[in-house]
Amino acid sequence: MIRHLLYIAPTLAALWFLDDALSKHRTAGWERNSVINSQKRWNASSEFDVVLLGSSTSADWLPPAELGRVMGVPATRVLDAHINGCHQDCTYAEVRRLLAEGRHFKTAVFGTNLFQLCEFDNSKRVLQQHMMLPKSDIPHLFSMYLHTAQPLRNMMRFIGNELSGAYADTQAIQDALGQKLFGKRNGSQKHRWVRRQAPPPKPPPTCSYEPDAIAYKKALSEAIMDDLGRLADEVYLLVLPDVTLDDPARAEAWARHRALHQSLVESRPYLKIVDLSRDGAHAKKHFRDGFHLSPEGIRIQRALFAKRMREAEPVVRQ
Amino acid sequence: MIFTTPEFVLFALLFFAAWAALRGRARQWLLLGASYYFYGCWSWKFLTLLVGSTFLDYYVGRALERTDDPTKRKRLITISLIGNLGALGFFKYFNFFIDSAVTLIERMGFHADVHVLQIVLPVGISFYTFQTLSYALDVYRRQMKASHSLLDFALYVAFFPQLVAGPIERATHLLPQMVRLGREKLPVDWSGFAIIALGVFKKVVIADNIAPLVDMVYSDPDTAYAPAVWLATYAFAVQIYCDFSGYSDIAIGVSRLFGIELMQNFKAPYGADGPSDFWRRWHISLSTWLRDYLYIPLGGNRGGTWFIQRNLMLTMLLGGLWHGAAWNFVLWGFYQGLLLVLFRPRWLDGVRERLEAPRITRPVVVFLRRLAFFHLVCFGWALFRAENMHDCGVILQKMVDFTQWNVSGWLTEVAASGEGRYLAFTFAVVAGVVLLQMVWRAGTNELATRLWRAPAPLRFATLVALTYAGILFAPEQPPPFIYFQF
Repeated sequence: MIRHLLYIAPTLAALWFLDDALSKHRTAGWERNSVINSQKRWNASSEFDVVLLGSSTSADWLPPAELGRVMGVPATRVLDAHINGCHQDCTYAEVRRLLAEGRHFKTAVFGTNLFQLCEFDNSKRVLQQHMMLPKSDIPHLFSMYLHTAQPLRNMMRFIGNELSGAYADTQAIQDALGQKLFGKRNGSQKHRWVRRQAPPPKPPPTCSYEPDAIAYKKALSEAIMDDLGRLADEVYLLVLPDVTLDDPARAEAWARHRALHQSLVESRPYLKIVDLSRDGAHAKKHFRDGFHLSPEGIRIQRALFAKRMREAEPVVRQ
Repeated sequence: MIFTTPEFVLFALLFFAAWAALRGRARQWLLLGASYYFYGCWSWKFLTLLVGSTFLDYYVGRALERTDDPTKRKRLITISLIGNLGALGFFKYFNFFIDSAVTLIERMGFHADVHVLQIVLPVGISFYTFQTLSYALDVYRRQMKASHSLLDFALYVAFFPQLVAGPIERATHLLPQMVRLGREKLPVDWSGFAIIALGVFKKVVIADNIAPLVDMVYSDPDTAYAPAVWLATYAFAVQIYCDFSGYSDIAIGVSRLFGIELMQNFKAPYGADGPSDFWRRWHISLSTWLRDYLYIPLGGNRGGTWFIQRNLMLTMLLGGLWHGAAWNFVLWGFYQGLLLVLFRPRWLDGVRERLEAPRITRPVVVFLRRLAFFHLVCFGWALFRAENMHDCGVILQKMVDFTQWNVSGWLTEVAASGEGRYLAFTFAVVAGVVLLQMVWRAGTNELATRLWRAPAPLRFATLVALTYAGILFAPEQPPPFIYFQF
């Protein structure tokens, strides 16, 4: 037994050190760092009135100064808790972490895009959950996974994150290693070793809005709204636009998207929907890449947000 | 459920925990339940097809055993053939034949308004159909006795490690092991871990990372540079080997942990000296199946040259069609048959012996022969990978038309793309895999055996490193095993 331990223990220790170093590496672990940076902003102060949640599409046009101006509070009282690529799965974990830390805000603002309702394959979704979700909430998360097509896969991805720090950051690790081995690669010229013509640009991500495809995110959205009701006195759910707004083929999906979010308001008096997908940015020129806003789009959406908030009826808790 | 996904790890952990707690018949029931669950993860609906196939051949086998009347026996084997091949034909080839007929009619100037059915191909149907069919044929030929236990037979058909992508086992080999499983505790062969680790490495680290490079070229070969087509074809040769043999390795490794030995399916195929040798090394379970149940019944090597050549061509054409319902697979089968026919004449052996006679130059001649044959195999892979017949033509033209090669111009483009070092690295990996097979000519089984016999610290560290590499270098969206589509 001891003879076996003599080689098993050092090998596993070496693996643990390698795994730990890879997952904490500054460039290799950028998805992880994105969560850590957000958490640093939480810890900067305990005197916040407003919290902004969601991904970059919620925050890159609505910095704390702008959000504070609309809400009538100084920028220093606004917590920018957004995380890059933080969809419903991540926000769910983030809100539960904030609740576990005993935080409370006057106002919570959370923005959501249409495509987010379908997407949860990216490994960083589970990494974000693993990093923020309190351990006591794991059974509840697993019950959420039952709404996915492959619950076992998602449970094991979560367990994998618990076991290996590098596991969910493999894409970033591969990119960093690739850069070291092969130099900095130019994505726009990558095709030239195969053919002269560049491939057509990838269409922006979207969501079919089929019931099976959105079941998990729908369940998460409901859970987030309940949790936000405990985290803040009033909650504003922003329905964000993207470049598919004018696409007739996506009209049905957009109708379902708005209806889903509208249905969340029922039985949640603290929740208000701020629909920024009408009368605002919609054309290609309003977006950088299909869902992140261009400077012109930012100007339009800021004005629209201010207008919608002026028109909004005050939240009355029953 | 795919072997290289996290849910399979959970499935395997839960399964082996229950397995360790049970004995005898209970283990068999557990294995059958797990196998049906494994298959049901793809489609519970098609599980009925698998169960139906099991019942059909089990009762055909029992009935064959009970009668000596040749007419009745023929009738029974016909029922099995119609049942198995009928299901395979309907699910796999129905639309292909309808589409082909419509194309032919329209080329003749007639209008054909035919609505094809939306038929989904049940995963693994080609594999388990051949397996059940071989059982019925063996009982019919009195090469084995019929199974007297539906549970044993159901396990032989549905044994989950090899259910969806082989190796295509024979009842004479696997069924007795299933019988023993219910009666005694089979000794676990722990070397299965070494084969699993090597299989995962081949699939996840090599095949899955090569796949995007191949896809870039083969998705639109019309606009691709000829040297890029060559590079992608070499890469595909290694991708398909690592993908398919990786699956077989994991299947063999997992089975060893039950104490069950599956047949070897690959043995360094790119180290082959010629087409016959290649088929003794590539997808061995299919090539031996085709030999025993198609080539030999057609007449095999008996009869005149033309008769043998006809048998070879027919066998390989059907072997090609087995892979998929598309004309490029038929063409690939034809090409493989043609290679077997062209390499058959005895005088070629004389030439080879003369070339290899000088001792000093023999290794070089042998190596060059294998290298030349590898290139012939690559032409075949180009046909196999092409997405349609038009692409087949374009790819082959680019590969053989020297005027299109312009390597210096291509290298300038490679430099401009910034992908030079990445391509050089990928090419080195591809060349390494091929050269290793040409020189060593041993399969993963032998490599795993050597690894398992290494000193314990080295063995453990290598297994950990291989597994960790499989975790670290897995693509974000791992592609399924190529052979699942067949």
